Amino acid sequence: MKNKALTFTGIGVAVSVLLGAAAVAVPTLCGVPSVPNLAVGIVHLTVVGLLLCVFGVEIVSVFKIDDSTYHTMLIAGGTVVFYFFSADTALFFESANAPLSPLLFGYVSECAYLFVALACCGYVMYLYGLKMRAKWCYAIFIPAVLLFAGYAAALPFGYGYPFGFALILLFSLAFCTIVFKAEKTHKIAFTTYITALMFCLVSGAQAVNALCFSGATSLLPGVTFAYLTASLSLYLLVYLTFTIRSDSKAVKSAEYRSRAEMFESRALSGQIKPHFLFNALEAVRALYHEDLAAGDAGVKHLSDFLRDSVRAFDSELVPVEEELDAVFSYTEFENLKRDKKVDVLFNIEYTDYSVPPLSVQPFVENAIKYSGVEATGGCVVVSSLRDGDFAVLEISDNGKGFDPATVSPSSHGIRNASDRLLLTLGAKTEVLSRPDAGCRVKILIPLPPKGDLT
Amino acid sequence: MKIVVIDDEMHALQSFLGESIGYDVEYKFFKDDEAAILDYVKENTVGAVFTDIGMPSVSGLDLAEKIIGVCPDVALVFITGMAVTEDDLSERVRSHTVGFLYKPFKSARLAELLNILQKRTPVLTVKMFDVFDCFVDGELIDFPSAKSKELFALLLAYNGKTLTMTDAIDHLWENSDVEKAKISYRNAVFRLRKTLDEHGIHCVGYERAKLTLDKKGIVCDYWTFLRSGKGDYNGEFCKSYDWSVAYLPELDRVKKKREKRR
Repeated sequence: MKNKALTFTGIGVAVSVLLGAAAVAVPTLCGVPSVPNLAVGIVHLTVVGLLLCVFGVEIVSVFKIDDSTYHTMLIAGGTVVFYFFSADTALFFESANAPLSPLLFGYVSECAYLFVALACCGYVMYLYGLKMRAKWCYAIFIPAVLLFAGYAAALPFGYGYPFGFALILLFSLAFCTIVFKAEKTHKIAFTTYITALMFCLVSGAQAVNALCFSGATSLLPGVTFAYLTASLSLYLLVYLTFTIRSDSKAVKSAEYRSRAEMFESRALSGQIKPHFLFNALEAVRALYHEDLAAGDAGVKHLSDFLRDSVRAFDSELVPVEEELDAVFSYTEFENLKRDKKVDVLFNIEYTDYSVPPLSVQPFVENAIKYSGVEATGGCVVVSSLRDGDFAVLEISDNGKGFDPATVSPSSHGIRNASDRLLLTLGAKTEVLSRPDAGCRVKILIPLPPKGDLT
Repeated sequence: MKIVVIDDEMHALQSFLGESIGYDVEYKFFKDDEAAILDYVKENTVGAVFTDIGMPSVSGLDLAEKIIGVCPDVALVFITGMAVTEDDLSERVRSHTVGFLYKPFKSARLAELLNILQKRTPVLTVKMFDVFDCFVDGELIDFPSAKSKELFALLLAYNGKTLTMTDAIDHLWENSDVEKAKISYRNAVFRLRKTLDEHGIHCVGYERAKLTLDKKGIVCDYWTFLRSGKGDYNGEFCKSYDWSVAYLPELDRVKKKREKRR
């Protein structure tokens, strides 16, 4: 069935209205006298009170939650007024020996119904960005005003209910048209069904009100109360679902965000830590005393590296070429400070992917600091290749190695980098090393099936 | 071309002056005096504005918007120490921005920007007779990696033909085992690319296991000699490289032909 929401709305309204009308009309026609029932009235008003609380929550949520809209607040407020001025309240006042004019109830409940119906229509239009301007005015407001005038005129004479039913029909048609239009171009969301259901309930209750207040039938306790309870349950169900869903989502996203922030701030503090900077500046000063050109080169490489590090904190991923540039600047700077240079080879074959910023540099830093290759004439190789569905990033050296069992992954930088690689790319980092057998860090990055990760 | 340079710190302006001799440009320096700058831009046709971003009285970005308002054809370059990128700019400013000059800057980068502003492509002059050297607009290119320099020489010697990884390895790393040689090749390509990018030279095409060359805009004494016999060939070609000996017979032949004609 193509127009699911439309069918749901149409059938829902029809069932609701007919049920309500039958519930009051049939007993009257069959001669069952109405029984004044104070208790039902009291319970009815209590539930209206609960609905008022729901309205309060809606008001608060409009101000506190960013993406909630005032439409739902209007629907909630409208339904409070509507259900207050319904048949069972009238029954309460009658039973409490303070009967209020059925005309008053008739007019107010009709107005409240129109308000709620319009709010439901407006909400669905808002959800799907539908704007029906001039046509909407003529097709809805003009007949509505005429019918309401007829209702107001006919109510004192007991013939308000045909106009009341006509208004219900008019608004049902309007709502269904809106849903139909929405369904043609959009996928209908869960909230639309909820709104349609609310519209059905209110229409059904209004059918009862129209019959009762125009005197066509006598008040039958509990019918509007049934609609009211159903409405309240609907609201509570929606809140419950919304809370559970957003809670778990909120927890997950808060967790992710705090972990990501923690990693990023650790990465930042790891690289821009004061002692790194002071050491680096001292090295540059020494270079200048040696040779102006060397000093200039030092400043250039250091500032390139720092600039890459800082720029990194705006992005979660950078193209691997940028990361390799940062690694290059870092290695050039390190070598300027050393008498015996560390030979770093860039075995770059494949670069069509992205990595978290400063996720490769800490491994290279470790290799330079601890491998001792400058003494043995070895080298550090940074490789970037493709192996089937994976990009393989390797940092290996043929230096003195270490025993992984005894030495834990030393610095924050390493742990931070592997965590971020896992968190953002699902990439696993393997560190293989044996004493005197060098060290090999292998990062396997899963590549998406089509296209590149940039 | 008139260029306006704006920076609130004097030493930055002074270093700019020191670096930029030899270009056909007229500079006007300003501190962050917004009124004076806008007056000058109104009175004169300014080709480009180099401005700092973080200044005490006005942000370079806001100033740029105002300058565009007065002079819609102006080109912008942001000199800054901060990690500012294109994304931080408004649409309007971005469309006028030619590039960023990060402090501390090298003269090569400034030269590159001036070339872009004056719509000139840098001329790469290559000398292969005697020792191999390259010059960008007359300035010698320093290749920090010797092997990357040698690789570039080989590519130029190929005279526009594609240089495959296998050929490069045979010439430059003939004594290494294949796997090690491949790593050395890729390392040399990486470093060559860094050096050439720094000098604004984009004639090399970096493809998988091969390098291509766009000869446009390159003046090479070897190519000229092969084509027309004119040049300073005296028996030496890329002296420091072993593979260059293979090219000598052809060069000698051309030289004999030229001498015969005289």
